[in-house]
Amino acid sequence: MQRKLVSLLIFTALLAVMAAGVTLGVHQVLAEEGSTPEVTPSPMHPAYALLDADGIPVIHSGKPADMLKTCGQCHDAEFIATHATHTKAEGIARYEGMTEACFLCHSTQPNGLARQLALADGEKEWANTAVLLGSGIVAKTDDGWVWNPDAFGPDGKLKPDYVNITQPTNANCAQCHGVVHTDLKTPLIIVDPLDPDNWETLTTGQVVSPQRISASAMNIEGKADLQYAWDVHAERGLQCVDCHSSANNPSARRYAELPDYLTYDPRHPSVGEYLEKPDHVLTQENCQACHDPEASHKDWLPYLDLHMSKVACETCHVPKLYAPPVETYDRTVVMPDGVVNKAVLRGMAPVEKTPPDAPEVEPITVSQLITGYQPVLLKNKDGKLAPYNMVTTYEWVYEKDGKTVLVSDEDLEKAWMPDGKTYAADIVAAFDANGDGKLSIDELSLDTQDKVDLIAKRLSDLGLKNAHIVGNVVPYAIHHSVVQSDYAIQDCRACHGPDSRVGKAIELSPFAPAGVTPEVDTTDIADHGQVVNESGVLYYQPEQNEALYVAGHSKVRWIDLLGILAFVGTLLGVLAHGGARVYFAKKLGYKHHHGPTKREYLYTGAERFWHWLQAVSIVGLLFTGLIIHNPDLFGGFSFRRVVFVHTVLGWIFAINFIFAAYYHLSTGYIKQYLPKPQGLFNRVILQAKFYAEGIFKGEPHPFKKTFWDKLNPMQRLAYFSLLFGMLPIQLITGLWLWAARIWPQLATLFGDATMTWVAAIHTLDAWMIGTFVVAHIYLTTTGETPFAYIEAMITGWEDVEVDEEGEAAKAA
Amino acid sequence: MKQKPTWLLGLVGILLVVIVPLWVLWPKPNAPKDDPWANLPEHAPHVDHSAIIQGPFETGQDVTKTCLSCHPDAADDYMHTSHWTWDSEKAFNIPGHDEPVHLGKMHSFNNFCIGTQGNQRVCMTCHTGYGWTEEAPADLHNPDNIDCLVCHADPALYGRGPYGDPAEGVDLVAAAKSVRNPTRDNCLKCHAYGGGGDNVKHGDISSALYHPSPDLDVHMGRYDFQCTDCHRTDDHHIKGKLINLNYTVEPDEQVQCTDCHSNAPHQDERLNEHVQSVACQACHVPEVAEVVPTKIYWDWSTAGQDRPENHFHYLKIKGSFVYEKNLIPTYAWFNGNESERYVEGDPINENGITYINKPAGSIDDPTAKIFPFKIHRTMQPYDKVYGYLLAPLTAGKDGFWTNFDWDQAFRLAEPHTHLKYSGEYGFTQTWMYWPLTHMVKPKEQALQCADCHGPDGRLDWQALGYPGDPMEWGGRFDNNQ
Repeated sequence: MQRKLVSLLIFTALLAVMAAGVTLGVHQVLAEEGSTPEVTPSPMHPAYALLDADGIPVIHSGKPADMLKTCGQCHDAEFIATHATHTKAEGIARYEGMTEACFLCHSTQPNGLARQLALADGEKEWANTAVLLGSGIVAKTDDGWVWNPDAFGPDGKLKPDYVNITQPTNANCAQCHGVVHTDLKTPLIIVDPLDPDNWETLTTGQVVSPQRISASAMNIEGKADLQYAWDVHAERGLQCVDCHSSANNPSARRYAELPDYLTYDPRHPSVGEYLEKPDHVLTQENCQACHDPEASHKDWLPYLDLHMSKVACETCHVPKLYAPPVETYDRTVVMPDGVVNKAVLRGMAPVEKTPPDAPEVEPITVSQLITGYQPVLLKNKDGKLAPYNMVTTYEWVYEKDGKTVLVSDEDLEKAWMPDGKTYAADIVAAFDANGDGKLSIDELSLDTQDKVDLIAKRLSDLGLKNAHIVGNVVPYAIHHSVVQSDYAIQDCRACHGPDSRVGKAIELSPFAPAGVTPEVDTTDIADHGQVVNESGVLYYQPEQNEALYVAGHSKVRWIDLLGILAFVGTLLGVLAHGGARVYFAKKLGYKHHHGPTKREYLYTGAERFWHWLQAVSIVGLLFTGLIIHNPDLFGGFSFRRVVFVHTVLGWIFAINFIFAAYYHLSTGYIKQYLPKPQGLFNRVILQAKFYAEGIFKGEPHPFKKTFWDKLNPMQRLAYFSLLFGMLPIQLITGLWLWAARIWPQLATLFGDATMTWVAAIHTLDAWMIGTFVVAHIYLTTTGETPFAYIEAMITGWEDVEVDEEGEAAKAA
Repeated sequence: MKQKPTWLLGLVGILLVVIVPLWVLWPKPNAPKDDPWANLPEHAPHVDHSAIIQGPFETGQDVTKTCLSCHPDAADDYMHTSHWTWDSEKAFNIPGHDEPVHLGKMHSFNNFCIGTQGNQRVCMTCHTGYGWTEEAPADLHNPDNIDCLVCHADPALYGRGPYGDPAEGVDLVAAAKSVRNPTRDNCLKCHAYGGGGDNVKHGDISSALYHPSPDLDVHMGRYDFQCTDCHRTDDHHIKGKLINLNYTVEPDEQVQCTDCHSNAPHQDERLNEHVQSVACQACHVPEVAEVVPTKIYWDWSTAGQDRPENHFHYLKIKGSFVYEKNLIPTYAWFNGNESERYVEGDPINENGITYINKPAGSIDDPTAKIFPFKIHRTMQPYDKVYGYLLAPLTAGKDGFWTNFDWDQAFRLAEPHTHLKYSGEYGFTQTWMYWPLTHMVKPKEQALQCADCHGPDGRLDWQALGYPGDPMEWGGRFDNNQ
């Protein structure tokens, strides 16, 4: 007993010390009092006086610092304020006055949190001073804000040790923009995935850190294999301002269009001029500002220009993100702790069914298994496919003075929890599905019209007219969290396969309030896809662009169907025909017609060579083409290699075709492929009758072969369509597909969908040629002996049937 | 039948027309691949000696005699190696010494157990011979004293006791029958335990290398390399030298990564450019001692006290220590030689650190590269009057480890070290640099840019002599320097 008591006492004491430590720590962050900063002072920036709005040093007036006055002593503050990117943040309460908050971006130890607290406390005039809290220059006491006299010299200027001005570092940007983790020793962990000050991470899952993902402290699926940095640029030592630099910074490279004969334009502001008027419109460099994608891709990426014109770099180089962004904000409900923050994160493994003893409010944390997510590929304003996350938000709006405005959090909380703590009784009655008297996160969903009406009514009771729910979907572009090139998408099948990333839908929201279909904000995209509701779960189906024919993935369904039908039908047909021949031969017991024959030289060496080379190349082309068309059915082949073989075989076929054409024209042999129109119909009928009847009875072939007339009328028709139709068409469409990699303009010669149709014709024609090959091979067995015709095509000689007169028969 | 040759010709022609373009145009890999496997030595299969060796053996020397009866040249070869002589093959011109100086375990000091002289009972357990005692100086000319078994027998069947003689109870016949090519087990038996314990001395050689994981050492862990795959042997001469006991090492005497790997093995040209200023080990041995901690500090001055003992913090016989796990190396320029080496009898630096050894090289030395080291820091005894380091008698009879009497230990050591003891001793700080070259990690775990470059990098560029981070300021061979 005694020992237990002692341990308990020690434990309590420890707890108390820890609690004190934490409190103290928090306290210190918010109100550090005049301690000497542990920061190397700026090596460059001269000492300066902090001035108030009247231009009087604050150490004398005790008033808040005015940044325009202070920095305006040397810099053109008005120019800066009017040439700034960050004006966009002005509309957001927590970032109000951003363009004048110089220290937020330029201090080595900025206190953005203190600034937000000052704004929240209504101390707007102190907000920019609050950024300095913790630097030892100013302190917040019970009596208000106090400037530390030790930090200032007798002339009212800051002592050099307190001049902590810097060019913006990653840490400065990270205060608002997202998770930036430069510390290599501490494993990265995202504590609050819903922190709005991690905006880019919250909206997209982008993380800027040189640390390997495998070193993260988070529970990421397959982490051990993710041995690459969260962001390759951070790993390579780049800072945010390297790509987002001041537009007129003379030390930054400028990429203005130059005439061909210039490689550099030395005319730019001097450093002095720049420091007076530094442009604060930050550049948004694209990848090409530093990279030459052609140099790095030309050795291996086929259709380079086509890829570059249709696919954004980020699509392959940001294949997957491993920090969970928001998928859905449900701002229609109030959580049991009285806050409007119901959210669903993307890229997290689904949680097992909530155990009954789980806390009422399941905190949204990253302690669950993170699976990561593949961004959706949408057409951006440049017409390229680029990766995005799509965030869906549902919220209440109402009519006020003829305008639709958002219902404030306070009003919504009042509607749900009139006393500010517990749900109204009628709400519990309506939402408590399991009848335990409490509302779980699953139950907090406006999934029926009754529930929507109930809340709408409660809002209208608060005087909010015509309250209803709207949903919107905002696509957020992804440019950071670029992976090392080894880990970028290099497998063609990521897009050129059945499970293609192109056109793949993304889940928008696992639920939707009754009757609401969210609107997609298309300000920043050129994608015209649609929101699809599949049994309550909403998806965004990107534009199915027929102009975007992705080999190996895109298919024109009816063409394949038609092709398969023709091919299989022919196959069955010849099998049946062959079976019947064997059957009748046995049943009737006839021997094949043995009339007088004569050994005749039918095929010249050149013809035979042409034939067999064509046979080999066509079979090879059909086979490789089939793999390219259906990579999923032939997983064992490298798509890239198969495309290569197909291309080479295609060229062999093409050259062979051209030589053969010349040969046939110059010798006049071409004549035998031209059907003679006179009496053609009757002759075809005669031949068809033979195949339908005579052949089963062992009758002689109706037409006799000679060197100059080796083809029967049906053959002439078939070969004519092959040689003058199918093969040239295949040749032209094949060349077209190939040439588009060199001349991308071919890809759009007949409009955006050119390639789709060229490819579709190529496919259909391939099916037809395949069908021809089946029939052709079968018909070779109809000679004197099953292999007689094949033998003839090998040796050139055939025992042809002759008439009684012993003369080679001539077809009429 | 006459036609046959013609159509065969056609067939061949067609095949050629199809295959030749495919073969000629087949996409070739961009650059010839670095193929380190081609450079690995092939070990001749070892003859099974279990049927050849006949006992009985009374002593280790009996075994050696039997070995030499078939391998008569082995003894002469072996007796010229430092494994046997415990002395450097040649003498070195060390600043401050008029005569060339020999270095070697036989007589040199370090800052661990300090010196072997007079302490043969324990130290000789790692000498590859028999019969070297305090009283009887080694008969280094008697080939029978070579211990063949320590390197060639299965260590599970063989062990050594005081002075390196076979441990009691060892079945010498069984041990002798088990001889084979030396494995990691043989080498690690001594090399992992230098300095008086597992991984105490090297940091990058510990008992964890008996069965290393791929993550600890890619060569030994992933591919099961044996020591002799890199430390190639030629008539018992083993390539690779410990710089600490050699002062200078010719590049061809040392094991180099480039013995197997290309000099420009990376795909990225920028990484290959590093090779001229950064040793492979600097990035590929990002840390050591992940499994077994290594000693980084040793304070002899607290030895002899009666206080709680713990292998990692305090031992009465040795004093107090600091060990480190996952040791991040210290980086210094290194051209493969040393700039300083403490020789017994040298004066210490009374005003600061005495370097037992110090790597040679600087940013101005084009042959030097940035190399990872473990630094072992020690407070060790010196003679206050003569101003040199003292090597106490520790393991020997009535040594410090028995009587805990420094005076007596220094006096007893005098006849062994031939250094006079004045009667007044103190403790001074010494540093010893240990190059880290084992425990090479898989390439996925090598250092990345940000590990050295940028605000959180592990290198102190200015201390290395650069004006600033060479990523921004350029390297030492760049034109803009």
